[in-house]
Amino acid sequence: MKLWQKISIISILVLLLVVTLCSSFLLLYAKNHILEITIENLRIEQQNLERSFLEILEYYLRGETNPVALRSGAKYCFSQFAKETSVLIFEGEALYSAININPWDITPIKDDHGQQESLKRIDNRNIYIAGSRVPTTIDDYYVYVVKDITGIYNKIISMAWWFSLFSITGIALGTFLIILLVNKTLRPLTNLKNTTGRIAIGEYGERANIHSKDEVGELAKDFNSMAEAIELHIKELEDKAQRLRLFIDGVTHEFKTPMTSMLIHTDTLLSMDLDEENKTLSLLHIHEQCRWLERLTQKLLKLTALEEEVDKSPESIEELFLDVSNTMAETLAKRNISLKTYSSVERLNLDYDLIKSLLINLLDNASKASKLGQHIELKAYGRTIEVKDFGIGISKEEIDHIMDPFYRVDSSRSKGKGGSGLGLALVERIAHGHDAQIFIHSEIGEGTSFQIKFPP
Amino acid sequence: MVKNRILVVEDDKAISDGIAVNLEYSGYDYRVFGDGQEAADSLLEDHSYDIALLDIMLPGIDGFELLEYMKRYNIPVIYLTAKTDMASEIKGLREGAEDYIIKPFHILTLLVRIEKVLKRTGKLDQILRIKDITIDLKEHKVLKAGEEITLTPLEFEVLAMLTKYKNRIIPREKLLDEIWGVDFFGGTRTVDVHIANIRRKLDISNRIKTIPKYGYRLED
Repeated sequence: MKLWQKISIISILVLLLVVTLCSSFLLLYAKNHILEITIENLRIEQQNLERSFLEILEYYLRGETNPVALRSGAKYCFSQFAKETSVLIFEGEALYSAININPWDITPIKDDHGQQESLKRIDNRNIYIAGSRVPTTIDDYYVYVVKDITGIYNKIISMAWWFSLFSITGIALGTFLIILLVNKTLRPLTNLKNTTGRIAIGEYGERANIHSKDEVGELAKDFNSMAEAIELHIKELEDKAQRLRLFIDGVTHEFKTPMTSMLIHTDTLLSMDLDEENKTLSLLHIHEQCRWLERLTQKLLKLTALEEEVDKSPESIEELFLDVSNTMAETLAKRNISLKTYSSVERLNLDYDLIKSLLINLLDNASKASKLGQHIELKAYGRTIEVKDFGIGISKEEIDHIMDPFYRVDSSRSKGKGGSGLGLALVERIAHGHDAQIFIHSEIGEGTSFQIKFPP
Repeated sequence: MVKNRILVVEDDKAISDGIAVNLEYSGYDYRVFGDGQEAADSLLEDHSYDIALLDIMLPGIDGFELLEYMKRYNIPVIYLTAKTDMASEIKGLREGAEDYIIKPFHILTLLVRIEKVLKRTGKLDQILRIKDITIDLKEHKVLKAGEEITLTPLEFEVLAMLTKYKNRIIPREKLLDEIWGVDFFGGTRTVDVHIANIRRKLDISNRIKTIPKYGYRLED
């Protein structure tokens, strides 16, 4: 069963119970009240009748002894006040009555004082009888008020019908409103459920569009932050997987060329009886390719090892620059390139070996880009280390790709210069390991500058 | 007999050297270029090639561009590509390349593909000769010193294959695959029986060398 159905049914049941109880209580109260008022009025009527009758009787028939005259006198006196409900009883017989019931038979008065009353059902009619002895000195008269109050009962019954009708209408209306309101209140929840469903099937960009201030609104807010976190995580994972895939593609492609020539040459050596010269040539090629694969593997190993944490400590920049200059000296001398170092920083927080490797890679690239006899600058200022050459430069489109593993600005030529296509990928990893940013500025024909900005 | 002439454009020297030595031993004439532009320029003066083997990633101009030059001189093209993505293969074939081979490849596969393209373009010599033996591929006839020798169709195929790839070891499995088909379940002994028959009928025991556990080589 759905939540809105549960809440609706519970609400409707509560409404039903409350309405029924209230109606019943009101009905009962109204019935008693009406009856009480009616009876009270009849009681007063009887008392007034008795008092009036007594007064006039005492005055009118004082000293009269003739029984017949007394009887007719009493009858006359009574008739002066009597209504259609009034009955006068003498010795169990009705002396004056407008009705066909003798109240004495139904409610005889035993007690000398006080009122006697009863409510009886006679011939399908509700009859109220109230009577009392008239305390005269002459005779024993009894004054009764007999009233058919069936009409009042009927009125109460019709009232009950109206109450039921109103209750049923009210409940029906209430049911309709409850279902409507519960649905409206729970709509954000349905909304949230649909959003969850869409996220579950991979639409991680989905968000719950709920702005209510209630618990559902809060839930939606928390849900959205959760979805945000999940989306971010998924995106990171996807990016990582994508990078890894590209990397593996690159590695595979990079291994293919040496594999091809090794396969061709081993195949040839195996299946053909080559002369000495060709045999040596084939073996030389195989040897060369093996060495190339070995270099490539070393670089790859270095790159994967970088996945681990870098070990930073404050290192002397001057010392680092001197070390790098010495390592690069031979390579640079071959192309008659001079390296100018300049540092306004004493120490930077870094992993010495890794940053040395980074700088050597950048300087290697710079020397390849430079023309014979040019110079390269290696500078440190603020939190930045910069390598700047004045060589061929890199185009805007290529700058976006140069950090990709195996990317070469000129694919077929730089391999001749011993480039693996992994140098800048290595630089990027090392910088990333230091939380450092890389800025590249380059103009075709004017040169390139790499700036490594370390975090504070 | 005129040798078929092949243009090779491949920037990796190790690979082009390997291909060259094989083409030479298989009796092809060839010319090798390491740069796309140089290869294209050379066509102006010399374009009498029966087939071109083109790398795709080339300095100068790439293999796809080079295809346009080849079309101009009606030179059929086989691509040698390290690109495994289907898109570039389909592009190459749709634009008129005859075939493509994905690196790394077996040299024998390359030779078979070259021969298939030559056969399709009618450039393949239908008469094979080795010493005093003449094999007519069209008429399915074998002549030794002018006399016809009767061979079964399978023996003929085996002899033709050994002759086509003379001076090279043909593995037994390769012979089985190419002649009997990959569905054939008979063992490599079948090949040995047919070789023995050919040796006997043509009296060339000394020319067909047995390389133990590997295959056979026909030497000229």
